[in-house]
Amino acid sequence: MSAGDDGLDEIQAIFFEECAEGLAIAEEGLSAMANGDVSADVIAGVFRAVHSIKGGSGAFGHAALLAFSHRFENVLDEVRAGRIAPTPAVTKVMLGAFDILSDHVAAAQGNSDAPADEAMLEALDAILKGEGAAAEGGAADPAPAPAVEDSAPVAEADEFGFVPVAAGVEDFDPFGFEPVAIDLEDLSPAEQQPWTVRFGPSRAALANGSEPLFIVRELETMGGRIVAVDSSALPGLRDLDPEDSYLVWTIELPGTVDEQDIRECFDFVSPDSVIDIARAAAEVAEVAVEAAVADAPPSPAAPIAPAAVAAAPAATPAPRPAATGEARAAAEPASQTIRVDLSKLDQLLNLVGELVIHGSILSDRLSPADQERVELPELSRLTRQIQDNVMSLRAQPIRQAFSRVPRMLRDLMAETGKKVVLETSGETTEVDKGVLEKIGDPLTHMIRNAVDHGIESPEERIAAGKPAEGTIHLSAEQKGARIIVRVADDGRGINRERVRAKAVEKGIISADAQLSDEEIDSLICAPGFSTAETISNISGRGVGMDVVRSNVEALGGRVEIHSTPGEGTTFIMALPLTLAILDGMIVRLGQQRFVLPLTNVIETVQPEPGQVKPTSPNSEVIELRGSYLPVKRVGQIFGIGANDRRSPEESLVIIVESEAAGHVGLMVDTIENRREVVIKSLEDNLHPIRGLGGATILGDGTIGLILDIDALVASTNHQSKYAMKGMAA
Amino acid sequence: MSATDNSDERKIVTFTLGEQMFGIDMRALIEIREWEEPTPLPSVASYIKGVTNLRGSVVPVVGLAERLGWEPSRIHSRSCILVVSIGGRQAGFLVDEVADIVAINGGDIQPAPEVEMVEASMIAGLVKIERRAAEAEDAETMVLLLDLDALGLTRVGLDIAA
Repeated sequence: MSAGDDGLDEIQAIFFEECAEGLAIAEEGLSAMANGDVSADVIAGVFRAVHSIKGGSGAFGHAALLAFSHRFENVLDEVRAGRIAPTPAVTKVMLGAFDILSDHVAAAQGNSDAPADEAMLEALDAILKGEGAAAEGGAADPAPAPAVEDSAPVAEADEFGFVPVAAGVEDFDPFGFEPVAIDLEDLSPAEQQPWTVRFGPSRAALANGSEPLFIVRELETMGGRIVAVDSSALPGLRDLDPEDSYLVWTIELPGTVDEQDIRECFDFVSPDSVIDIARAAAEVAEVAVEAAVADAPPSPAAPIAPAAVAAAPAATPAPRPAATGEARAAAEPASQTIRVDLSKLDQLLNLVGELVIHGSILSDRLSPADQERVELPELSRLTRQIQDNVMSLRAQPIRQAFSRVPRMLRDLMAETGKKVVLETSGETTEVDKGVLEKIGDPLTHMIRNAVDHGIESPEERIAAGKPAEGTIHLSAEQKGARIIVRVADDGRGINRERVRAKAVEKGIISADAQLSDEEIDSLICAPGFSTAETISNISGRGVGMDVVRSNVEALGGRVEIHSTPGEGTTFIMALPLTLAILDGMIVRLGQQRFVLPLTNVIETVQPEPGQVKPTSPNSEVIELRGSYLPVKRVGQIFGIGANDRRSPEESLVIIVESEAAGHVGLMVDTIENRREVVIKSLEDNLHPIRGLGGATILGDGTIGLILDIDALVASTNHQSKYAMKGMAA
Repeated sequence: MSATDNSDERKIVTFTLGEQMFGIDMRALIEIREWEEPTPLPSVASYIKGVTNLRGSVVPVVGLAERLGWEPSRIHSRSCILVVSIGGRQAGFLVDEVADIVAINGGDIQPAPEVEMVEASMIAGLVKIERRAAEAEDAETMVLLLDLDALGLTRVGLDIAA
């Protein structure tokens, strides 16, 4: 990887992708820690993620990111090694550090300025000092931002920068918690106890191009001497891989050496390596020295040469201990992944869509007998399988969208002084990547809105008899072909009087408009609406909830708001599971064909005379098993075929289920058939149209419009004098 | 599409709407299709005639005359649809008749006069071309060059539908 060549940008882009992955892993881990899960796996995952960000940042010369991640990693390493307890206080600081780290990554990408991290660095150092205070009493101040000026490790780092993050995340390095041969926990309060460093390069270290020898030499220049070599992992000569690492050195350094300096030596060592740094009780160290003398040829002060490494195995062949074997087993079956440009997947999906359409055309044109003869059913089955597979490639857990919420909440809490606890559920719900990408913004606005407008200040909450901490519950679930995302807060609810007054003031509604509570609630999604008394930094620019509605509707989804004054507000986004394919019922209205999503369809009714009755000149109901359901004429809603108003007996009523209005009957002329259709978005070339979920190309090449039942039913409910500006679009 | 500062030769497609000749930049043209009744859409601006299937894409068809504020085109045998790409989005324009492909010089384009009309913003400039079929007396004719970006449907459409 020579710097300056054309590939560097690309490699750098991969680095940033890995940073994003690393940040996601770290955040997930830290959140788990904050929720009380401080298991070794979790901590190690966070450590590795930060470590790999550090490695890459060095390689690409992002000095500020490198310096910060290094200091962060120091703390994580201590926590990982069990020397600092992951108390809530420590975790909180680390969460803060994570935020700064994210900012540093963004800054390295050129997306923002480098964050001010001095305060956080002090907080991190305080954690480190707090731990070592007794032993470190007289030690010098911690070294200033290390490693940046250290050119050798930086040059080497690119080899480490690309250690795949995924490979090591799940399998926790058994070495990290292997009981140390020497009892290091017995920290003597006496100052200047010598350091004992155990260093066992990971198996991959040599393959990665790192040279453990340099590290040992560097330690030597600080006055270190090798006091023991653990060669018990050495295999027999026949099995010896000259590029593997088998030895674990124990190196003693004078107590006057600063711990930071020692740690710096290991900056770019792969995290799988054994690295234990501790002040040793003098007598224990001596025992180790004796063991070393008995065990290994190199005398403590002897210069270390590669020959020594090679010579040792011959001298003491020993069976490999189980721990090493396990480490290898764990490292090998790491699941293999491949990065694919999303546009390639999209293209594949489009092609599969075309295949499906052409399959439909074939089945339209061939008689059933001919279809069998050319084995069309088999082709359809295969096409279907390909389609399912391509779809699954694009499915991602919704966690990805949720993961940025905790950070945002922390920022919001800091800005507003409000206290909010986040609860999440259903993070593993899988949703199409395209949907996932587009719910980020709406989610952000919903959370902001909840904190800014919903949750009260701690004082207000206490006065209202609520706990000082507000709660936001973020959940996702799959319901039929929809993903339901809820953001529920336990705040003050929507102040309908104020919303109404504001809407009149802004000219969104007329002063004498008669609105139901739901209608008033939905006003907060109207363009240009904002009730914030002072335009805050967070929300109140009058775009937020408007964005929510338009983004979600553009996806073929819907936004609902349920609010109870004093108890809280729930925002519900109902999103399509996929943006690509739909099981549909093809219905005809006059000359035009429409597609009804089958998931909405309950049953179809051929009305008997008198079964459909008018309740006003423009509304009808159908009597069905003793209850009355509203009936909408689709033609009327869309203003087509209005001239030939068919009698209900000549039509079909399709009973559909809608989120907003429950069961509703839709009157159409006939049903043609049922088929899977490929959704083509209207906004690709036009703009979203309320009431339509998109369009599709039917078997004969003509276009069928896909009905969005919920929007259709909702929009007709609201038609009256409630014609709000912009909301019809 | 800057109208004046470019003196390169460029090609335009000319077509008529009623009596007037219009032109669009050749580079934006994807294809010219025969008129085919598109699938009508509910609650859209009246000039959006509907959508049609263009090789698997759903493409809106715009009555260009209406879009520009003229009388709507009447469909006849030579009516056709110019499929163009505007900022990566496709749209079909119903025109009365496609005339020609003409090379013009960027420097010959005059800026559209500041007339008090909404549609002026959709005209990028004026240019004189020679009629190929030299109908003696009227050898030159004025072509209104359209500013395709201003004709984009996504934003404008929303405003109007709302």
